[in-house]
Amino acid sequence: MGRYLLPEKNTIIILENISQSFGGTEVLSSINLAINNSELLTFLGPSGCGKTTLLRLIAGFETPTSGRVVIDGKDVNALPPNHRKVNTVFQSYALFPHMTVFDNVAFGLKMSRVPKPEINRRVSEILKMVELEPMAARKPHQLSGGQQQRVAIARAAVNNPLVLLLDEPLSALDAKLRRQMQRDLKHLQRRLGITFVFVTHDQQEALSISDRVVVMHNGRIEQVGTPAEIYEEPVSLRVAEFVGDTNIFDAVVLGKSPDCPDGSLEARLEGQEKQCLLKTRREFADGQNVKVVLRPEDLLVNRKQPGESSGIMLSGMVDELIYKGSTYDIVISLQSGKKLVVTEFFDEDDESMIASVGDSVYVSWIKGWEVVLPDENPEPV
Amino acid sequence: MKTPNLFKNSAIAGTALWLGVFALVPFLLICAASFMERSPTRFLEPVFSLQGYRMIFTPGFLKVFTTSVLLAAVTSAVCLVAGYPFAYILARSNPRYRNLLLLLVIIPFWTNSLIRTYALIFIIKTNGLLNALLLKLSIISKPLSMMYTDFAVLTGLVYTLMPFMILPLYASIEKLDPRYLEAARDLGAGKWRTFLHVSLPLTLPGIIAGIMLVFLPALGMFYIPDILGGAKSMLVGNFIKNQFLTSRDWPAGAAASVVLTLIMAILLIVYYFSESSSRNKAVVT
Ligand SMILES: Nc1ncnc2c1ncn2[C@@H]1O[C@H](COP(=O)(O)OP(=O)(O)O)[C@@H](O)[C@H]1O
Ligand SMILES: [Mg+2]
Repeated sequence: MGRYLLPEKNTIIILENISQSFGGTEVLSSINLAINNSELLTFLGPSGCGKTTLLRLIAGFETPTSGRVVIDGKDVNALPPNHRKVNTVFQSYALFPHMTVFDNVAFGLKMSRVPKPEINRRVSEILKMVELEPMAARKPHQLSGGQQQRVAIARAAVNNPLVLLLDEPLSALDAKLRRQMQRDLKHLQRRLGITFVFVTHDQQEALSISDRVVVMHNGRIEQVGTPAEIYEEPVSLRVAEFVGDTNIFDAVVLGKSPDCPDGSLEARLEGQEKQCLLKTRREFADGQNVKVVLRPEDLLVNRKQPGESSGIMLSGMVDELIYKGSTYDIVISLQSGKKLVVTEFFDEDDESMIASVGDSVYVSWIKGWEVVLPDENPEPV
Repeated sequence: MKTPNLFKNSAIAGTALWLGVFALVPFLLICAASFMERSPTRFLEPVFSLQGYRMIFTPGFLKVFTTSVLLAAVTSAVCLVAGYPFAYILARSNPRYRNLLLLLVIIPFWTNSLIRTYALIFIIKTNGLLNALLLKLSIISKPLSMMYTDFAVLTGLVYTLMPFMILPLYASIEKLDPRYLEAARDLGAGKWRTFLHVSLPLTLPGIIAGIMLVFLPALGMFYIPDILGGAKSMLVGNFIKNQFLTSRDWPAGAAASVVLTLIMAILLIVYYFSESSSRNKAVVT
């Protein structure tokens, strides 16, 4: 497909200190990011955090108030959208209603004056890839939502852009089709070898399809990392809470643990007499307030009181069992009144292990899976 | 549910009655008159005759007819070319000024168009405002004689009918989703090709509606050619008027009216089908 060959460097887009204001309101502030060639990068953040604005800046529909957009080594701030080798899959698809599927997909190639036989070949090829060849003669309104979505992807991808921008392309689809399309998109991206910049507010979607995730909040980048880094080592409480379910404890750092040279801290967890060990690579001062983040699947439920020697045990009572199919969530009230959510897999061999409502249980966590974060606004004690 | 139905039914019945009495019955009377014989004493002789139609299928009338169609077509074209950019700017303008601009389009309706046509004379007559301005700016050295020319008639028609072009264009351009234009730009189309391949086809219903609303009245308007074209301009509208009021040949005037009405009906049917097929296309999800 005559891919555009890049110079040897691996960066395709650089966002350099970008800020964007609309009528005095700052929508993006100091965005710095390098997007790698051929990666699937996702902007993840709640609605209104500036994801679409960022894509529009890359596509050329907005000019940054300050900062630079660099595509393929060239400053493109002054370049209009039609001269950027970037294509967009719009949130609303924006398929031309007066054109057939074929003409929609061929539009970009016609605009770049590709010879007709080549247009026919490339359009058929991409329509086959998205399994829409039999629909080529239909108008967009004669297609289902999922089919329209695939036309929108084909219309953008057929032009072999340096980067394909996708603005919440799956948000209008139902859950099952959505998961299917997530896999298909990932495959398409590998097959085409094009950089995909994907936008979503759905953390599950971001984690499952991305090579790297950029977590955004209020027009700022909170964290950039692989899905595992984002999920397992969130840099802030905000990221931790946005990227998955959390149980959060207050704790006070007592000091470095003398027994463990690996950087474990001794700390006192809220409502606990006993000290506990917290593993972290961050530096904390003695006496500092911290937050301990534990994901529901990091927690373990024990039905019997364990021996003295083991680590910390939080005693509580089972409040509720929520069936999830392959797993179930156990809601536990601790003695302090705090509620925890624990996710467990069914153990078919040992049904006695399944807790029931009203049981007394002891909760511990898998050592080393805790995330310790500074308490950003500690409440006065 | 009874009252709304009663209201709806009586509203429909009222409209039907109105159209029946004031549009259908007169049209049927004209139809009947077109098949009668001319009478020197009482306008019409109630006997069947094709005299009226024979009168109008003559080279003289056909020439009047083609001139009228041509003039109406040029009027529509001028209104379209001048009205489209205006409607576009109007539809894309800041909503705060938009209503004011729309008002400017509508204001002329507050004055009778006959009076406005007389007012035009003051602008285009030999010692009128336009000549004075052109002389002052030294663009011309002696006054142009514009009254009683086809140009004057065209100016009058364009001036009078322009709002009928602008309003439907405005309505369809305002509905044009800017996201389609962005999609076109994103796919490499410059401003002109975005207009040609996306804006123009998507606003076609407005263009057709505007042409209908300009072309059809332009065919029948008789007072503008009368006032601005003098005796030189003979259009279908004047022809009909003259047959009734001057020549006293009612069957010929009626036959010309019937032919004109049929042509308009055919155009409206064409419009209806193009409109409904493009509405099918414009469904967006
Ligand atoms: N053209 C614009 N004019 C004014 N405000 C805008 C414009 N575009 C976006 N915004 C504002 O910028 C913020 C971020 O919008 P957006 O980028 O669409 O967020 P997201 O895609 O993450 O939901 C919103 O508060 C929105 O109202
Ligand atoms: Mg958005």
